[in-house]
Parts: sequence; C-alpha cells; structure tokens
Amino acid sequence: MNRFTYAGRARQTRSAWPERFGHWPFLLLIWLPLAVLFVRAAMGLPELALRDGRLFDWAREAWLLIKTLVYASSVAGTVCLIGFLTAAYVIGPGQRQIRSLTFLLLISLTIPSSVHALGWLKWLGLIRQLGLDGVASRGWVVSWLVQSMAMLPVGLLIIAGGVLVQNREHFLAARLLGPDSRFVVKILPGLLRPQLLAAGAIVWILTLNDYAIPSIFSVNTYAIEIFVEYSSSYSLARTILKSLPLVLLQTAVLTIILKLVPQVFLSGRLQDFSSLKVRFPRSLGVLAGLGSLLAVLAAAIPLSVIFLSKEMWLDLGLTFGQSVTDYLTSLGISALAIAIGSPLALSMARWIHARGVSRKGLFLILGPVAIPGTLTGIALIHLFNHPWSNWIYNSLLLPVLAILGRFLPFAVLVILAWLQRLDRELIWAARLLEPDDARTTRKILIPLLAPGIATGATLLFLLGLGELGATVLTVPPGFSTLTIRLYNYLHYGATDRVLGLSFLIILTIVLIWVPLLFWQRSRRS
Amino acid sequence: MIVKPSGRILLLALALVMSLVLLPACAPRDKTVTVYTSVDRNFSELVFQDFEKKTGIKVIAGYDTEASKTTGLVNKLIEEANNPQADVFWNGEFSQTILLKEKGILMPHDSPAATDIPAKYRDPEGLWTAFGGRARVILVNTRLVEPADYPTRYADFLADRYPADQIGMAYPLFGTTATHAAALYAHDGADAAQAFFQALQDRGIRIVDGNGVVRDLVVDGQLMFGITDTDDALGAVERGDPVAIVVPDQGPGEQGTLIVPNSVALVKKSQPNENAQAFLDYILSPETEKYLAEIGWIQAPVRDVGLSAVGGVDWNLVRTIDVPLSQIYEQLEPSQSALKQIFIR
Repeated sequence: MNRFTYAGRARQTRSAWPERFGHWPFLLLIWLPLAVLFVRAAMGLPELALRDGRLFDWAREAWLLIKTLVYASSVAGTVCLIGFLTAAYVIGPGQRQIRSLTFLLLISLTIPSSVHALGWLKWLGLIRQLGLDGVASRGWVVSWLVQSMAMLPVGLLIIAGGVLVQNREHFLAARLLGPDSRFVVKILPGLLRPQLLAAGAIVWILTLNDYAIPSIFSVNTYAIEIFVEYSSSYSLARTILKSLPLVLLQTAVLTIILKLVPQVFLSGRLQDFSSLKVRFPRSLGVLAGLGSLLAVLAAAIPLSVIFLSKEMWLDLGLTFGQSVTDYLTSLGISALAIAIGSPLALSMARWIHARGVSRKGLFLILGPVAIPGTLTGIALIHLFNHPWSNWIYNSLLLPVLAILGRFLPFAVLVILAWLQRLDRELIWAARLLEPDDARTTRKILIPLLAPGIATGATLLFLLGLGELGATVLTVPPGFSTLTIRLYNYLHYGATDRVLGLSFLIILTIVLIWVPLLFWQRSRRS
Repeated sequence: MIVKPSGRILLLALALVMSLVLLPACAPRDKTVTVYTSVDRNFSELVFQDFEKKTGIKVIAGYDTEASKTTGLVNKLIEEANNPQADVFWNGEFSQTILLKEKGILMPHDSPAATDIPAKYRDPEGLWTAFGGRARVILVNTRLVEPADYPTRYADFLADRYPADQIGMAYPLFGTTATHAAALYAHDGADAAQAFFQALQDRGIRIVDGNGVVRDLVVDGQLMFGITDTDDALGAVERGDPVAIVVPDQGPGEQGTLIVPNSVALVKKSQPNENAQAFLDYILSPETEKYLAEIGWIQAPVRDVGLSAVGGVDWNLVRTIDVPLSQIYEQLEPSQSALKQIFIR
C-alpha cells in the first residue's frame, strides 16, 4: 500500500513527525483511560468469582443476544435497502431534489431518537383513530419500523456520500452496453458496496446499543441487559463482562467492514450526475421513488411533531431562556472537542496513511466506538479523580475528553478517507520543495484536506452535542448540557420543552451549516 | 516559526476557550455546597434557589437523568469514594442511599430539623434521613375507562375485563418500579410476588422504559391505565390531560400502596462541611417538606406539615404497604435478579 501513497514516496526524503509518532496522542487519549478501567475491573474479578457463583445466565442471555443481533441486522438491512433505492432515485428521476433531501436528512440527524419515537407514536395513534385497528402499537414489527426510520438519516448520509464520489465514466461505460436501468440494477450495487456496508455497520452498531426505542414498543434487547447489570449490581467488573460479547462482536464486524471501505475513496472527485439525464423504466422509477418517499417520511415525521406543536412555539422563549447556560456549555464542550480532536485525528490519519493499517490497527482505532458511553465516563473518573488532577476533573475538559474518547475514531476515519483521495503529486512536489513539515502541513495539506477535516469536525460536533451516557458522569457539578436538560424534560413529560430544545439544536445546525455551504461554494468557484 | 494574524487569532480563541473550560475548577468554594441529586431538575432547581436565598450559600448541583435510571450519580459517588467531590446526596428515593451507606460513602449528621420525622424514616446510625415521598398510583385515561370501571387494585392488572395490551408498567428493574417490586417481595413473600409478576408478563401487559413513558402512553390514549408515580401523574392532571389518579389497594384488607420517600445524606469527607450540614437542616425542615409538596415533587409528607390534602388526596388517610425501608432494600437485589429472568428474554 505504501508504494502508492505520497508518504511512501516522501519517505525517500524524510518522514514527517505525524507519520512516525502521530498515533501516540490518540492512543494515550483514547486508550489510557480504558486501559486503567480494564485493569481496575480485572482486579475486581477474583472477588466477583468468589461472591457470585454464576456470572451469566447463559441460555437466556445467548437467546437475547441472538434476538438482538437479528433485530439490529433487520434494521441495518432495511436502512441499506431504502438507502440504495434513494441513491437510485437521486441518480435518476430525482437529481434536482438531492440538495433538499440531504438538508432534510442532516436536520433530522440531530433530532434525538426519543423525538423520532414520539413522532411515530403520534402518527400511528392517529392512523388507529381513523379506524385502522390492525396497526400494531407494540412488538417487533412496529419497533423495527420506527428504529429503521430513526436510523435512516445516518445510513442515507453515508450512502449519499458514496453516490457523490462515483465515477461518471463507470456510468457512461455501462450506458454503452445497455439501458440505464441495467446500470442501477447490476452495477450500482457493486459500486456502492463499501458505502452500503459502512452504513449498514454503523446503523447495526447504533441499533445494538439502543434500548430506548425497542423498550417503548416492548421489545427487549441485549443493551438493556447490560444496563440492568450496571444499575443493579454497581459492579464494574460484572458490567464489563456483560458488555464484552457485544463489544467484541461490534468491533470485529466494524473492522472487517471498514477494511473494505477506504478503497472507494480512491475513485475520484465529487461527481455531478445531472448532465447525464438518466432514464428509468416506470417500475424502477416507482420503486426508487418509494424509497426516497420513505426517506422523506423518516425526516418529516419527527419534524412535523416539532414544527406543528402549538405549545412548543408558545413556550419557546421560556425554553430558550431556561436553557441558555446549558446551551452555551454544550457549544463550548463541542467546540473544544473539535479544537483538540481535529489535529489529533489528522495526526492519527496521517500515521495510518503512511504505514497502511492492519486489521489489528483498525481494531485499536475502532474498539472505543463499541464501548458503552457509561463505561467511557467511568474510565475517565478512574483516571482523573485524584487530588493532583482535580483541576481537570472539575473542569469542562473531562466531558470534552469523554466525547473524544467515544467519537474521535469517526473523525480519524473521515480524514483518512479524504487523505486517500488527495492528488498525491501535489503533496510529493510540496514535500520535495519544502522540507519543513509544519509549513507543508499548514500551507498545502490542511487546505487540501479542509473538507475532510470539516466533515470530521461536524461529526464530532453533532455526536458530541447529543452524547449523554458519558457526559452525564463527567460534566462537573454546577454545569449541565443541553442533552441532559432535554432528557430531564422528557422524563418530566414536558413535551413542548423537549420539542423546543430539539428546535434549538436544529437551529444551531442550520446556522452552522448554511455559512459552511456558502464557504464551500465560494471555495469551489 | 511564522504565525500569521489568523493563526494568532485562532490561538487566542483556543486559549480563551481553554481558560473558560478550566475556570470551574479554579472557582473559590468557601461559601458553597456541592449537592448531587437524582431529583428531577425542574423541582430541585427551585429548592436550591430557595436555599440560596435563605442562607446565602451557593449550591453547586450535579444532576442525574431518568435516561441513566438515576443510577449514574450513585455509581459516580462510589467511584469518587477516594476523592469525594460532593458534600450532599439528595436522592429521590431511598434504596440507593442505603446502598451508599453499606459501601461506606456516607457520614453521620444528627439534624435538629429531623427530630419530628418518625424513626422508621431515619437511619439508626444517623447516616441518612428519609422525608416526604411520592406514592405509586394508577393513572387512568378517562376517555377510555368509565369511572365505574376504574381499576382499584394492583391485582386488577390481571383482570380479564381490561385488554392486556392497554395496561402499562415500567420495567420493574429500575427506579421506583423496582422499589415497588422489592416492597411486594418483602410484604407478600418472594414466591407470591414472583407469581404475580410472572402472571403480568404471561398476560402480556405492556412493559415500557420508565414511569414517564407510562404516563405519556396513558395521556395519549394508547393505554387505558398504567402504574406510575404521583409526580408523573399529577403533572398530567395539572396540564389538563384526560386522566384520573387512583390510589390502589385501599379497600378493607388490602395491602395499601407504596410511598417512596426522598432521602438525604452527607458524603464522607475528611472534614465536615458546615454548609453541607446547613443544607441538610434546610431540606429536612417541615417548611421545606411543605414547599416540596406545594411545587409538586412530593405528595406524601412523612409528618404533619400543615397541608390537609396534596394533589387532591389526604395522604394521612391513605393506607401504605407496611414494610420497613431496610427490608425493602434487602429485597431489591434478589427481586431484580429474579425479575430479570421474567421480563428480559
């Protein structure tokens, strides 16, 4: 792999610091707290073995795990199918709608899953009131439907990225050999395979770790088993042991899948399919239209609940007024996560890119993603709650570290993908002419990678804004975040306030996204 | 190294953000008290403001969320045992406070404000004190059930006249529903309680993620009724939702309902904090208990605070499950273990 990378060529002159040591800050920041946690948990194991004869209820837990895997796989499969149909739609009849669809999905990505569930509960209730009593209010099917719809924005955005980097030449070549529909049915699935796999894997993982939506519809998953263990035994060792099958499974699957993903980013630049005038037969057009309709529905249902709530608008001023400190705290934490995380992610990505990454390496990078947020929070408490480190422990730096601990690997992967799409001749030329790596990085590499760094930063920001499991444990007394407040309102039953806060989050994203869009346009022109 | 003005601005901005982030750790703390609380923020914030106004002592609050089943702070207190950050733990229920006592996290305080609280609500060693509570009640959707058909007993959840999929309950593995289950284990015996919950599961009643969800589904008309806490139920009543509250098991010979009291304790530190003691004395006073009832966090004061009825119910006349708090606590882990086998499959 190195033979084809700019770093492989540049090594003939001199390796840059991030290419030699760029992994150390990442490993220290992400793995040191987890290592301390695992050591502490391992120390508790002998006592645990003496106290409890039976750690696992094998038959019940194995069955629960299998059911959970089937449930998560069905959700991931559904998201991939709808995602593929929507991709076909935007290449074919719906080329003009791609921007509005992406915008709608990006907005709905920020809405908490509980609001998605709330929206679907409302609409399904309305359908039942219209006399369609057959519509289930609980059980596997309705839970699968709502979970799939809540996860669809995540999956679709990944798949949409895949569509945008496809080579027009593939399509033009296929067009010479047969009708456009043939390209969609026979060739597009293969071209989009890495994105479909990546979307499927990420949705699969998010579903495996979510028990909020399934439990609303009376479906049990393994995530709730872990949570029961954590909240009833108060034993770190037991909780980690319970989490282990799920953590290992997730990391293994992610590693295998992401090993396939980077290849796609070698394929080229962002493409515009609008000039191709793709034509579909009616049946395929209807099917693709149906897929995109479901995608619109996935965004429209929660948005309708937010925007059509009269009480939400009436209480909006009060909701904003009460949440302003939490809002600023959340923004500060997420901003600092970006400021610290982006250089670290860039260094790590450069190190991986320079060396090529093995499955073991990917396992190390991705492992933390599969660890429940609560355990990440506890790990940071273990590491930093000492008299000598009170200045960190009682500061907002701890929730920043929690967010980085959970989501920095995603930023690394995004930057890595962009690094692999770079025009390498440019970098080789720069490295040969300018020996100072800091200068080359600042003048050449960062501007070229700016979209990738911005995407990674956006991901950190969005995921950090919605994080709860680790931040609730790490935010210092006297502070709170918007998400903590939102969940408090949710429990209190103040739906109007929950919707008001969701609106505030949407507004924030719009205010950040629109200037970014203009910046991107001016950059292109 | 040449740094352009834009780079300088970026560095300055980063330094500013960093100093703001680290500021909380450097703030002076002599006239403050750090309180960890699992009580809903909507209520606890009002109490903290009242305390600050009366004493001039600033409360630095750490909150929990229902999403972490209010066990987040308890786990945090356990993990912080070697370098405690909190001065006070104010819990919306009692079993986790007893757990903290057993883990050696608490220190005693004999509050003069608690002398008129009945002995059954006070730890013999003075490590914790319980006060005003919430009750377990049945919330009924008045559009779906006629008053004559309202369920009156917890056992009515098994009655055939109500469709199973229109009856709801939170997982009896977390929060006050778990405490209620433990109380039934202590009162009825493990076999009888286990059989009751097994029958509920076999019948197929709807088990959901939290008392708040039960309330929302009843309000929305997706459930005819469900069991929840008074604070959740009264919130819906006050909003004018089509619901009614039934206090279960009040008939002759019936066991009564469970009252889940709040509890408060000092966190063990090398030096007792006077501000923390002042907070304990404040929160345990009859005036604060009355205030908590007025704002809607508690409905069943543990002593006479001068309120005849809270939430439309005279709690002095309500029959409650007669089991000591310590016995309920002892049943908590065994009942959770057993109920996990029934409800998570």
